[in-house]
Amino acid sequence: MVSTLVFDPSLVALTLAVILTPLGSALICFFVRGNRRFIPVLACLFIGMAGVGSGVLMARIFPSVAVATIPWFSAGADTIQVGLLLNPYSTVMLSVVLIISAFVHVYSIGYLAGDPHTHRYFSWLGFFTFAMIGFVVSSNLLVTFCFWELIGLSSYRLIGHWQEKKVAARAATKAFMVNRVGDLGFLLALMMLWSHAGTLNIQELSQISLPSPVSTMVGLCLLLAVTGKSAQFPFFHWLPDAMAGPTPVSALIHAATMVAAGVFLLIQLSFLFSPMALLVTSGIGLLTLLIGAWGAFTQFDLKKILAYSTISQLGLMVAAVGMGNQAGAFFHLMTHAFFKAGLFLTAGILIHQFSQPGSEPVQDIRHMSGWSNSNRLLALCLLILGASLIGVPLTSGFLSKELMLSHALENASDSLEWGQVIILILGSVLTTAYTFRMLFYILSPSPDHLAHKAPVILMVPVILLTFLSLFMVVSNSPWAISGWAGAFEPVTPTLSTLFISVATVITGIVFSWLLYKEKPTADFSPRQVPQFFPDWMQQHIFVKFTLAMAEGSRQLDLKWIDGILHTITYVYVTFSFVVGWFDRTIVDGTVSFATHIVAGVGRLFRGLMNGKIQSYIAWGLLAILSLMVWILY
Amino acid sequence: MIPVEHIFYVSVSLLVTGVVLILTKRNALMMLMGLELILNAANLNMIGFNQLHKPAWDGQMAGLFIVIIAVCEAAVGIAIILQAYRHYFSSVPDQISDLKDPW
Repeated sequence: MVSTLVFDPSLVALTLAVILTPLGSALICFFVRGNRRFIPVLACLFIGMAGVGSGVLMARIFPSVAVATIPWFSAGADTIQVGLLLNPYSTVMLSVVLIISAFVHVYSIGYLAGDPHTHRYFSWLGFFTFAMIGFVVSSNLLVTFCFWELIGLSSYRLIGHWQEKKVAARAATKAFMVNRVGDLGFLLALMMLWSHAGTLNIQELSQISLPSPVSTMVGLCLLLAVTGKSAQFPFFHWLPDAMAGPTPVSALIHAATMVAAGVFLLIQLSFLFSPMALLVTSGIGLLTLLIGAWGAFTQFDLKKILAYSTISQLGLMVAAVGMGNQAGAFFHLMTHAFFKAGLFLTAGILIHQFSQPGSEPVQDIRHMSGWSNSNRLLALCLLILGASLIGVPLTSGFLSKELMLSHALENASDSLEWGQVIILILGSVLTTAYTFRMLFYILSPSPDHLAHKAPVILMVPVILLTFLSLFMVVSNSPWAISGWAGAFEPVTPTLSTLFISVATVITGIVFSWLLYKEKPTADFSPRQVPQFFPDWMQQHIFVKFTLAMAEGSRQLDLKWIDGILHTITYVYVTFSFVVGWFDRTIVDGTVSFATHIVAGVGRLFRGLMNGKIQSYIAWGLLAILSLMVWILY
Repeated sequence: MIPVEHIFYVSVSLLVTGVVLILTKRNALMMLMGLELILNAANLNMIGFNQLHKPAWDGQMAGLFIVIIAVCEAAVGIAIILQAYRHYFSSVPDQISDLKDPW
């Protein structure tokens, strides 16, 4: 499958044009003021052009590998190179990102009509797309990291688009801060790679085999980065909060850009992982799969159900990479991008229909029933997209899930791997259950509610995404992958896999129907949404631990450091006092004593010099006499 | 012939008288007189000792010499006292105290 293509100049130019067009769109939307209707249309055109360019690139390059590098800068003897890497994964991802982004752009024209900050919104949307495709095609991990940070920044700006809302501002900050933790892991992995491998180029790294402890540490650090960005356990709690942003942004974040970046990184760099790190990866993924599915069960907020569903599906992809099935993970990432974007855009239409302008948007699925008769097309789209999420045959989701399941079944040999398979099946059952629970609520007919028609500009992207969620986009056959995607060398599913897939779907539907029957729609009593333990953990472990540590430091400061300082001070003061006493008493005393002696002697002899000449003579006489006495005797 | 001891008795009494004069009299003229007495006591000793070395005359000559010196000395001393008197209007040394410290 891999044959390196020499990157001819026209292809380089085309790739650069594809990367820079969204940036151009962002800059135009940012700097050009004026006609509010014209600018979003221009942005859509730009992204559409980039999408066409990416389609051409895919036709020219896929499924071979194309690389182009130029030196960026040198530090000492080391040179950092910047370059493009178009392997099958990044080529397909490039197209997927641009298609989803183009749909989101078109949809945003209708969804954000009348918003006062349309320019800002579209400029950040373009920038988000630019950051993501830069991330996807970059061949150097340092540059990849820069784009990774830009993705985080633009998601922060877009989640907090309605920044006057406190919830949105807080959710944006939370998303940004949680991602910083993951970035730490990325940075550590880069440092370890640079010190041990001496290069950050993905292609060169794939030819170097690192010693086992290093590759385990690198793998775990990269996994930390992925858990932050792709909302894996234990950092998934920012993603449901990020629903405070506009719905098209949620679609983009969940489908193609933000959370997909983590899984994409994992797929691209999975060759660096040691078996130990891969085991941890699959464990984290499976745990997230179950937690996310359970979370989707507890919610009544439509967008939050979808958010937990994304967490769960991303867990599935991470687990697939951990089990060594990069092709399956990537395949699911791609199919998930289409149907999840479609689901979010549908949710956006529903929220748009049920909300009154100027009031809080209605997002509770218990209030959203009764429209399916008036808009049968949208109901059909929703059903197909949901079926794709579940993995009903004839949809693309079925193919990707079957791929992962058959790979796991094929490689299952010991009890641990059979356990992984069972968790995968359990996750699929839960996915079906929560999806149908949501569909039962939303699609149930009730004559009380009358909703207005959805604008065409909102409907078109949904219909197209629904089409892209069908099997013929990725495969010629509805049962096994064939056609262009066969270049990923997927596992051929067996009849037993097919049977298990269908069985899980039926089990899930029955399960959710039973649950739905038990809790009829009339029950509007407020329900306690269970707090997931990351929030709890954050509160009780990190916050309390930090506070306790601060208090402990304070006590330490007061008791020990201040004590030591005070003791030192006391010793100094006492010593100075003694020295002062010694100086005053002994030193000064000696000097004064000497002066006193001199003064006393002076006083004694001054009496002789009294200015009377006769006394001088008398003393002189006395002196002569005593001299004579001394000489003579 | 006067015995030598008698001459010595006279000279000692002259010396003591001179010293007492110098030490007790306040006037400079009187002190100068005491000085002359001491000088003459020494002169008498010269003459007295000369008797013990009969044929020689040098003691007598020294006495004559000392008389001349005493004359000169008295002249100088009286001149100084006179000058001091003209300057300070006093011949008492205790009252001439320009060089003394103020305290």
